[in-house]
Formats: sequence, C-alpha cells, structure tokens
Amino acid sequence: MRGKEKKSKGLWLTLIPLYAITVLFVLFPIIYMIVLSFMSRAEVWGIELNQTLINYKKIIEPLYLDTFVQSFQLALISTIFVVLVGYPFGYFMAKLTIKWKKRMMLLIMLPFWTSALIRLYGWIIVFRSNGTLDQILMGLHITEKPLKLLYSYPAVVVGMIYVLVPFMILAVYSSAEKMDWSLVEAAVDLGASRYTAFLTVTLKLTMPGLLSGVVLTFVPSMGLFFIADLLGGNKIVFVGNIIQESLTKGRNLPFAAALSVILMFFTTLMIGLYKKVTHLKDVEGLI
Amino acid sequence: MKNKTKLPNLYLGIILFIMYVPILLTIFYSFNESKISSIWSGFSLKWYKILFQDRDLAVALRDAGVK
Repeated sequence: MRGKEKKSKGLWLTLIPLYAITVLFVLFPIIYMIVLSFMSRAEVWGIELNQTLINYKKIIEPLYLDTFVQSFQLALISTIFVVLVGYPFGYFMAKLTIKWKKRMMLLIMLPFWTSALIRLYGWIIVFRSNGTLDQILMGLHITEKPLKLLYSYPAVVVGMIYVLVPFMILAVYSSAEKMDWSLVEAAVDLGASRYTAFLTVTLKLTMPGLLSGVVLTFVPSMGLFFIADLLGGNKIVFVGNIIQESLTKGRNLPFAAALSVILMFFTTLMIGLYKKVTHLKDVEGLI
Repeated sequence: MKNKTKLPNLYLGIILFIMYVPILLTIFYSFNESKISSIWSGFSLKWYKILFQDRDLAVALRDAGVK
C-alpha cells in the first residue's frame, strides 16, 4: 500500500510540466479572452479597461445572429458529407491487410505536410471558370458554358469536406480497427443478413469513432475562416470570418473575443452532448 | 467473392485520388509558362527560377530555420 502511495506521488510530480503548459497556454489565454470580451474598443488604438456588455449586445443584432445560423448550417452540411465520405473510407480501410493499412495511413497523413491553405489553392485551379472541372465537363459535353463554381456555396462545402475528412477517416478507422470482426460473422451465422449485421453490430461498435469524428469535424468547421475566404470569395460570411475581420481590419479585439467566447460555448456544448449521448468519459481520438 | 473486395478498394482509390487532385494540379501548374493557372501554355521552369532568385524568400527560409 505504501509503495503504491509513493508511486502515485512521483507520478504527480511528473505531471507538473503538463499542468504548467495547460495552465499557461490553454487556461490563461481563455481567461484572458473572456476578460477581454467584457471590455470595449478604444477610440483610436487598443482597448478600454471598462466592464461592458456592449460586445454581447452587438452579437444579438440580427446581422451577427444570422452569421451564427449560417455557420451552424454550413458546419452541419459539411459534417453530414464528411460522415458519408469518411465513414465508408475508415471502415474499408480497417479491412485491408496490415501492409496496405500502413500505406493508406501514410497517404492520408501526407497532405498534412503542406498547409491546408496551399492545398486549397489547388481547388481554386479546379473550380475557377474554365478551370480543370469546367474543361472536363465541357470536354465531355455535359455542360456548355463554364459553371462559375468558384466563390460559391458548393465550393466552400467541398473545401470543408476536403480539409476535414481525414479527421473522420482516422476516427472511424481507429474504432473499426479495434473491432472484433468475428462478432459480425457470428451475427451472419445466426441468420442476420449482411445489412442487418452491419446495422446492429458494426455500426454500434464503431459509433464512438463516428461520433468523435463528428465532434472533430463539426467543432472546427464552425470556426474555419480561410476556406470561406479562399473558395467563397467573402460572399458568404461565417463566424470565423467575422472574428478574423474584427481582429485584423476592424481592430476590435473585445468584439472578436466575445464572438470567440460564444463560439467556444457552443462547441463545449457539442462535446458535452457527445459525452451524454455516448456515455463515454473519453472522446476517442480527441483525448 | 472477388467483386466484394474490389468495390471497397475502388472506393478507397477514388477518394484518395480526389484528395490528391488539388495537390497534383498545383504541382502540375507550377511548370506552366503562363501566369494564369488553368491555361496551359507550355512547360517552363521560370517560376522556379523566380522562386530561387527571391532574396526575401531566402531570408524567410533562414528565419524559419530551414537554412
């Protein structure tokens, strides 16, 4: 018993750097942001040290409420598509041989070596009028005129899916990898069709992965701003864009902070909901 | 049985291909002569020449710790 106590004491000591980093780089910035959100912008430069709810009142204005709704919609649409594309991918990937699993993993991780920003420029080449997609479609005589897909809503959605799908794939894969496939075989042996076996066994057992994938895609997609900037041409404005604009062009740090606080509140709500639905203490792939 | 294993692999292949299309296109058009991407006007290394002659970029690389 004594030995165990000693051991846990030592363990606590080794955790100090971890706590220090968390407090310094996670907790402190969040507190700073919350405090900042109750201040107001100074006339010329910087912030005024007063307590005010002016930033939060501004968010309730229809203009900004609308962007929250729009961001939520985009996040929802993107997440649905990411599930549709990513789930089968992760599922099929888990069925590959070990050699191919490793290769697939490398192929999925490889694009992360370049910035998502640069990879999105590739999509500009695809989507721009008379771009690659237009040339292919016109070459096949499916469309006659350039489609003008760049700077449209679908282009933004494609960009979102493109950036976020690897997270879903990895989350589903890690779940499906651990799964005991003999359970599916047992279900089939006991008379379930492949379809029923999938719904009752595979889907249920990979649910933690799927849901953590949903959290991993939904949460960032609420705040991603550069995709809407690059592929949406600033025509469609999302919360992330307003935060970025008020930080840079607007020089309104407190308002940006207030928007971030609200955004964080929603994302925390999402993770809380996730925990409640799955009854899990850990978020698979997240923690 | 053979068909059953082929269809998932086809799916994996297609999705991976789509994921790599923008990257491959970016690489492809970096050899383009024209200034406008998506209009192919011949193979050229002139953008790489400009890239390696860029002094500011060299400084930036040094600052980033690459050089």
